[in-house]
Amino acid sequence: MEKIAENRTIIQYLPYVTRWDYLATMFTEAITVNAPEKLADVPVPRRASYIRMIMLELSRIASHLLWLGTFIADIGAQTPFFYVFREREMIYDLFEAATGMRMMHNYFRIGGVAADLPYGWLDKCEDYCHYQLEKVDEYEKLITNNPIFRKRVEGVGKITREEAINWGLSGPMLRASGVKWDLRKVDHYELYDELDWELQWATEGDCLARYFVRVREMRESCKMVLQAIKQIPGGSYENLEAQRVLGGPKSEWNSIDYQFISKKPSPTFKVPNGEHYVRVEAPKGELGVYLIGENSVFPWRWKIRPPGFINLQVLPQLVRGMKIADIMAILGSVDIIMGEVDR
Amino acid sequence: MMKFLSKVGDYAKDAVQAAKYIAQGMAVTFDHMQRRPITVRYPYEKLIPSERFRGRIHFEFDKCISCEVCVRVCPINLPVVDWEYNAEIKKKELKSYSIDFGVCIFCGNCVEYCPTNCLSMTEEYDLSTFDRHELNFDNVALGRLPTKVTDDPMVTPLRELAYLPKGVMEPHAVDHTERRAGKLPVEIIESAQEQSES
Ligand code: SF4
Ligand code: SF4
Repeated sequence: MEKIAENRTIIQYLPYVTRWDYLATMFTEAITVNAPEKLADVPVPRRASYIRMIMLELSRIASHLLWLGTFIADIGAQTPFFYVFREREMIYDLFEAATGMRMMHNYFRIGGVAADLPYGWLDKCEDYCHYQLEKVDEYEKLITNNPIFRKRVEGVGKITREEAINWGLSGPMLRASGVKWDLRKVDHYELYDELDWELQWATEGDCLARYFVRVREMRESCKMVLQAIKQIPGGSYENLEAQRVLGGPKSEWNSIDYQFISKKPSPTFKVPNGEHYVRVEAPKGELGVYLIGENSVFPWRWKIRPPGFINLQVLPQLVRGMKIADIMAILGSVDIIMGEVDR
Repeated sequence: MMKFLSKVGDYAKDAVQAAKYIAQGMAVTFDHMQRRPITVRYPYEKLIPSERFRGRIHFEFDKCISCEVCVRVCPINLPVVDWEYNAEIKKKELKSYSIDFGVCIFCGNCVEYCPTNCLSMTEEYDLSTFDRHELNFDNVALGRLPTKVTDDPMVTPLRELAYLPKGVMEPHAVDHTERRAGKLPVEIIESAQEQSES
């Protein structure tokens, strides 16, 4: 994937990136556009940034949902697996309506997103978030206090705070070990500061703590999407269109803040000279790209820092002295995607 | 003796707790018995692909100016644009155009960047064939249009979540012709004008 990036323009490369982490696809796209965007100083309109945040958080919910399903299925309960797929399908329906595809969106663009949201989309998205909040309660009722589940995960696969930091873990793995570290809070990227949300963390560092962190993050993400829907500049697409018609060509609704993209990138977008590292908080941890440009259409170097790969390295240490059956629980709680580990 | 009794007591307490929480979980499971199945019984029922769905590409031969932008933005430089320079009219003359859908990843870059909009994406997604070479569509095949799900009398069309009316979470609950969520811009304008008049 890194070598492919070095032979493709950013536009050509964008459809590829959803294959790194195919369960949290929006994040891979976000990082792929953020890297050249920051290097070339392309402005992102506020509306675009809000659309991005909604998409990212929905994607986070989808990823955590699937993690929940497979994690519980690994431990031996198949029921929640089907429940989470039901909800995940809805997120993908929303994605399909907005981007054109369920998983391989190709939606983010340098300077914004590919298209504005379709009409009625925000209404349905709101519906979905309310529905999802209810469903998370339902999962918790089903799983959290189940004695079998508790026995399988409590105290299993413990990582202490120091170990977590030393191994370079990130995301829920790190937060479950008592480190308050979330790039959305640390880096202040996009407009996450304008939303009112809390960082979710736990101190125990075992599989159960990681379960709690992720489930709470799902709730938090739902709330963030609901807030973003309320605060998005221009409101829903239909409202924005109507205001533009009412306000005439010179209205404020045509200003940069209400656009979904600042300027459509040309097929020959050049990555300027320079190098830097950008990162986003993906559901699995810190997803970063180290980009070196040399003022050509192709990036000179495109190093991906996948969270799954680095989180996976702690596994040998965690499973030492454990029973075989515990390996499934531990591996499940690490939340790895092989597409990302061996990209 | 006391120690043994308290142990038995603890054990009993644990067992009661466990039974309680399992019953709680089971309540959720049994609750699903009165819910409608959410699965779509393909091929009798089909989802209507969304408006932006990126299916097989449609191509209009007469509009194409053989600029090859589609080739340059495609991740794999897939479209084959076969043209010849015609000195008489000083223009490129397109001889044939083809896209191999066995290789295409339906990213939509070519559609987005084509300057004359001669490419577009249809809602056709069922492209399976017995021989992969049949997927290499030439300009004639690319010009065909797929049948719409809503026109097929054999299937019940179902809508995806984003196109359902507000508050409805499930496609089986409403007919597919019912109005979807969201007002039209025209309606918002009208209501705004009424408000300003009154
Ligand atoms: S971009 Fe459009 S006009 Fe240009 S060669 Fe391709 S199909 Fe033809
Ligand atoms: S959809 Fe994407 S992969 Fe397919 S021909 Fe167009 S640009 Fe190439």
